[in-house]
Formats: sequence, structure tokens, C-alpha cells
Amino acid sequence: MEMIVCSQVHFSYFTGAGEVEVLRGLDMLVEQGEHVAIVGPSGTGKSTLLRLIAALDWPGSGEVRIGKSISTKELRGAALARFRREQVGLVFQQFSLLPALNALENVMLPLLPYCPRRILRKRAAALLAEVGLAARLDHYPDQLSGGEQQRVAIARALIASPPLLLADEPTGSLDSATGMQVITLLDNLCRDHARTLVTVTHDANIAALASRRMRMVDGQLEVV
Amino acid sequence: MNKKLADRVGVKRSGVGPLVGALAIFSLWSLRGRAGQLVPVALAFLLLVGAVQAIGTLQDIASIQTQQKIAQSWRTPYDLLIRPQSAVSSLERSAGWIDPQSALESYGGISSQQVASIRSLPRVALVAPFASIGWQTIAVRVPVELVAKGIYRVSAKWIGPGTGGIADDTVVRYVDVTDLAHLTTEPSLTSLIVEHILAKDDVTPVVFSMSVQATQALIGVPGSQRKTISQVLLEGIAPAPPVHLSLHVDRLRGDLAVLPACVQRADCWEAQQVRQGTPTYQAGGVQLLRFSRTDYTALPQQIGTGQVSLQPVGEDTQGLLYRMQLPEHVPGNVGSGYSQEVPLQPLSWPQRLPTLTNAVRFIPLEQACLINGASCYSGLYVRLNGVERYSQASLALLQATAAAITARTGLHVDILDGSSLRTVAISSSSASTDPVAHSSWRVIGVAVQIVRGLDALQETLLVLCSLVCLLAIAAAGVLVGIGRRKEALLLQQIGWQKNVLLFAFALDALILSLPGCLLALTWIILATTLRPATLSPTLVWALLISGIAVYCCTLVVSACLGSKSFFYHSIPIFVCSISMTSAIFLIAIEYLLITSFNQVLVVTVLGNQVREAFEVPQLALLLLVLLAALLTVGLCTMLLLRGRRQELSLQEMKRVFVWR
Repeated sequence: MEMIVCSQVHFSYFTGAGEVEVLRGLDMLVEQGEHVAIVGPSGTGKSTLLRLIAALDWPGSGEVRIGKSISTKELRGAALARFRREQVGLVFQQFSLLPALNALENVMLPLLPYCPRRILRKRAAALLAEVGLAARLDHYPDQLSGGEQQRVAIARALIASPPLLLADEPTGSLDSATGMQVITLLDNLCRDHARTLVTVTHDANIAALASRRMRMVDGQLEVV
Repeated sequence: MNKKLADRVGVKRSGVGPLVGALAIFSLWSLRGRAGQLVPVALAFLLLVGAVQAIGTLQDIASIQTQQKIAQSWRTPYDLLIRPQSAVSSLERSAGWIDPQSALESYGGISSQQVASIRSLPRVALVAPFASIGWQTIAVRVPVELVAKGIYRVSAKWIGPGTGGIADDTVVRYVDVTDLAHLTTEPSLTSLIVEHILAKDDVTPVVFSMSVQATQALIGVPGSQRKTISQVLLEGIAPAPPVHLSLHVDRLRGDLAVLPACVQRADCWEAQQVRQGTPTYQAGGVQLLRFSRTDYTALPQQIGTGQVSLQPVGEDTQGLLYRMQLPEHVPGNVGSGYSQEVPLQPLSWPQRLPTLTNAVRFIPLEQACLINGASCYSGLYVRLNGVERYSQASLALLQATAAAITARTGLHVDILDGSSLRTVAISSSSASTDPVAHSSWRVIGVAVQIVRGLDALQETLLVLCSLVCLLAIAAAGVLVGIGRRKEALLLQQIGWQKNVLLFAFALDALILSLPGCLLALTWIILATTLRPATLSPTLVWALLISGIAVYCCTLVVSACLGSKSFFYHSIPIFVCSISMTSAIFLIAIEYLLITSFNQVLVVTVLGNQVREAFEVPQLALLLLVLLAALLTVGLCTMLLLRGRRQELSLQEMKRVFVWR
């Protein structure tokens, strides 16, 4: 079953120097439950592709379709927020945890306004236990290591049980050993929960864990 | 939440209450790392309320002190002076001054009907008319029994303290008691006026009625002022023994033919003992007198320096004042109109009056007017209700009443309320010994102008200070909001709806401003309870609510604006530039307002009389505004430097490296 369908996606932005064309008629198809790694040098548009899939940006032309939902281009307002909340889980390179919230609260954050706190707390605690942080629920980000912070971010991405997980350089801020642990955890979780995982990385070892690898070249994807 | 998610997560949430609760929980969580932000926000709110309250209080203090000073200096018993249009000189009209002397120099012109019409106006508490001082002549008649035929000299002399028997004061009559009836009908052959009385026989005495003209004071004054004027006029005289009319009768040693030769010779006369009857008094005519009108001229430059020139009218200068008889009361042979031939009578002080027992008396003004005619009032003083304090409202009431009086009666009205006495140098071109005299004229409406200027000054400062404080709050809001932009972006990325996000940040802003609001509220309540001010509490409440709104809006907008928005980058710069410009403008304008206000109104017009009353509150106000402006500038500087923290840090590192 198709999870991500990108058809002739073009994306460009403007700078003082002129228009920069990032994606040039990109096509991509990812099946449900797949683990896809996108590799490529910096500035080739890997993260941009991820933002388009997460509906954080919109393609200039072409179409990005996630699961059975309509094109991301047509998502606006409440539908867009719901899409981001329910269909996609995001893991960032810089973890993006709120420093004032502890691990448990950070995990609860995406659904805080939408679910009862009691239920949410229970589920967040379970997820944190799943990523090996059962003893660190009350710890604040600055009391956690980089790997632990990324695990909290992974738990946060899974709180709404999204069918698709997008990880943008999830190990970029970690040492190689920790990075490997984190990506292995992520891979395992996605397998266990039958989630689709798309990872953007520079690291060949990380990419090697994926079921399929694609390289971004000149704004288009090539199968590695 | 859709069914799918509900199935995945477990429970569906519904209703606004839980949502608000969840967002409040989020705000409280967020506050953990930002408790320090409460301080500048609370400070900003306290500053807003405190500044407004302080300005209000200072305004009250300044107003009270000023009004006390003004009342001490300029409060007159009456609020309006009403005169006939003809009684107002051109100089008074052009300079906006009142010559106090001019009220005494006018005669009549206001009727009883006009007075009644003014009395009927609303807010008129008292109407006190005044008229020129007048005199009533009386004839004192003393019957004298002359027992034998002959020529008699009957001398009447006022005897009393200070009179000393001056020859000029002696009234002499020559009486011829004769049996020749034709003498009583024929004209006198001598140059002296001799009164012939026909004797019945040699035994029966004849009665000669000695008539002496006297003057009785007739001062038309309102009854309420009679006692005061009596005391003033008769000061040092009233308790003294009255003078008495003393009659002395001499008989001529000889006949009518020797009389001219014997007038100055004492040996021609033989003193006689005669019986005197009871004196009788017969009222004569009333002569209402007035000062001759003086004519002043002045150039605008002279008016500015308080100098006027006097056009000389004979000897009628500011020295000894003279009065001139009115044409209608002057004896017929003088002719009509004012003439230089009319003898000028020196001002008759009460000492010069024959103070016979009960001779000097006052009659009510109304009675004087009955004698003199309907339009006898020279002017009116009016006191109003509701103008106890100098303010724009009192000025408006005075102006409205003045306009109503003029419309009803056509009379000229001057607003005395708040007028100040100003020394005016009067120079005369005449060759008198004292060519420059000094008189006090009233400059009308000065106090009202001061109060109005003070009010306008304080209101301007209030508005400006409120603006700067609101900008400070806005800067604080932007500062906090910018710090949370990444957080807002993340929340959007993880699926928070825009409206939920806005609500969350608004709630966050409200919670952040809560301690400041509570402190501000306590301040307002305490200030209102302890010292009720003229500044409306509603205004302070409105400002506080505005401050909260400004804070929430700026925080939410600066936090939630998309990074692609033009305003994303320009809002902080915009707010900062406005705040700093306003702060600098406020300090400058406040300084200018206060200094120019002092110079123009206080120094020029008032001297140092009320300067002291202004200085302390104004200095406090200056410090307060300075504090508000500095806080605003400080917040703005923080805001501007916030985005450049990394750059500064790098520069610092570079500097240390180079130094090493």
C-alpha cells in the first residue's frame, strides 16, 4: 500500500541572488511499512523533501500525497494541523525539545490540547519506557544526554501513533555509537508498530539499516 | 480528534474547558524556565499604573497648591464687574485690564430693571450695585429772639474739636429790626446784604431765623456694606465729640449808614444776650458728584511693560482727586455741560462735614436712586455659585454668565475671577511735581489661564507618559514573544492548530502579566482608597486593560508570526524605534513644556508667587517620566541586542583571542 507518493515535485526559493531551484520534477513512491533512507550531499534538497512530505512546505508544482489523504497542497487550517499531528511524526537533528518541560511533558506536548492528560501521561510514560527512559521521566532536556534527548524526541514523534515517521538527520548531533543506537531503536520501533520511516542522513552506516536507499542528485532521487 | 486517532490514543476530548485547562497547564510548565520574565512585565504594569496615578496625584497637589496661592493673591469677593459700555475705556478694552478707578469715575448708567434682570439669572448668588458718592445739603435754622430795634450781626460758628473758630467757617447775617415797613420791600442800598424785619412794637421781640447751610453725607451703599463704609469713612472721627453751632449776636452802635464802615471794626459792636430756639433741619437738594474722567493711552509695547500715559485734564491727575458737580445739579447760572468755569471743589473728607449730632447718616442706595433717577447705578459686582475653584469649567460658567448678561442688558462685563493686580506706571505729560504715578490695575483671567495651562500641561504629560509606558509594555511583549518563536514553530510543526497556538500564547501572556496586574490592582485600590484623586479610576482601569491587551497582542503576534512574514523582522525594530523616539520626545517635550510654562506664565505674569507650588511636583514628574523613558529604552535595547547575541559573543571571543 502506498504511503508516500511524490509526482513531478518542483520546489524553489528566492534569495537576493535570484531563484534557487531545489527539487526538479522529483518522483518518489514509498510503501507502507518501508524504511527508506535518503542520502546525498548537503544542499541537495533532502530536508526540503522531508518538509514537503510533512506539509511544512508546499511544492511549487507537482503533488505530494500521503497515504489515502488528499494532496498536501490542499491542506489548510485545522485539516493541516490534524495531518501534521496524526499522520506524521517528526524527528529533528537538534531534538527540538522544550527546555522548560521535562521528558514526560515533552512527549505529551503534541496531543496536550487534544487528549485528556491522564491518558496522555500513561501513554507517554509507556513510550518513554519503550525507548529506555523509564527512569528519566522527570528529567529536563539539559539533564539528559544527546542520545537520551533524541529518544525523547522519538517518543514524542510516536505519541499520536502516526503511520509515517520522518527523521531529518536524527543522528547528526550524536556520536557514531549513540547515533547507531538511536537509529536502531527508531528502526525497531517502526518495525514493531508497522510504521513507515523515512530518514535523511549523510551516514552510510545509518542508511544501511534502511530497507531501501535513495540518493538525491540534482533535485531528483536515484535509487542506490 | 478524529475517530482514528481516538482509537489509537484511547479517549476523545471535547469542550472548551478541558482545552483551556490543558493550555493553562502548558503555560505553567513553560513558566518554569521563564520566571524571571515576570519581573520586567510586572515592572512595566506597575510603571504604567504608577505613572498615571502619580501624574494624577501630582496634578492634584500642583492644582491645590496653585489654587491656594492664586486664591490668596487674586480671589476677589466678586466674580464679575458690570459697567455701562461707555464707562469702559479703550485702553481697558485693548489691554484686557480693568482700571479700578474707572468704576468710581463713572456715574449712573445702570437701571434697577437691569439689576433685577441680572439677579434673576441662574447661578447668580449676589448682585451688589454701587453708585457714586453724593451729598445732600441741609439748612440748619436756629430761631433767635431780637428784643429791640437796631442793626444786629448774627454770627454762626461751628465749634468743636479741630475747628478752632476759623473765620472762614463763620457765617454772618446782618439783620435790621425796624418799624419802617418799606425797607422790607425795597432793595438794599448798601453793598452788604441786610435782612430787614419789621418790629410790631418796642416790647415784643421779633424772631429771626438764622439759617446755615450744611452738608450731610449721602452715600448710597447697599445695606450690607453700610457699616463697613461708615467705619472707613469716619475712622477716627465718629467717636469724637460733634461740633456745635454757636451763635453770637452783636448790636451796631449806630444806624444803617455806618454799617459798611463798621463791618471790620469791633468797637462798633455791642454783644447781646439773646434767646435761641430749637434748631430745625431742612433737607436741601441732592448733589451727586463724580470724578472727572481720566483718559489713558498706551502703545502695545507700553502695555507689555505695564506703562500707560495719562492725558492731563487740567490738574486732575492721580494726585489729589477732585470732583465736579453734575450739570443738572449745578446752580442755573453756571450753564449746561462741563465747563472750566465750574469751581472745582476739593474732595470733602468727612472731617469737613458739620458733624452735628446724627447729621452724618447713610441712606440706602435705593433711596438715593429714587432721588437721583432710575439709572443711578454706576456698576455692579456679581458673585456666582459654582466658581469656587479655578478651572476650565468655572471659566466656562463665568463666560456663559457674562455673555447672558450682555445679551440681556447690553452692559459690559469683566470677569474678575482669577484676575491679578498688576502695578501700572502712569506717566503724565503735565508739569506736575510727580509726573509718574503707580496704580494697581487688574489683569483679568490670569489665574484661570494658569490653571487651564497647568491642566493642559498635565493632561499632555499624562497622555505621553501613558504612550511611552504602553510602548514599554509592547517592547516587553515583543521581547518575550521573540524568545518563543522557535517554540511556536515547533508546536505548529507537531500539529497544534493555529488558533490553539494563539490561544495558548495569549493565555501564557495573561499568566505572565497576572502578578503585575495584581500589584497594579493593589496599587489602584490603595491609591483610590487612601487618597481619592480627581483622576478618574476608570481611566486607570482602562489604561491597565489596554496595557494587558498590548502585552498579549505583541507577545502573541511576535511569537506566532511566520518567519516569512515581513513583520517577523521589522516588528522589533519598529517597536523599538517608536519607543525610543517617544521616550526621547517625551523627555524633550516635558522639559520644554515645563520650562516654557514656568517662564511664560509663572515668571512673567506671576513672578515667583506660584513658582514654588509648581517646582516640586514638576521635578517629581520629570523624574518619573525619565524613569519610564529609561525603562522603555532599556527594554528596547535588550530587544535589539537579543538577535545579535551570537554575533556579540563571537566578537567577544575574537577580542579575547587577539588580546591573548
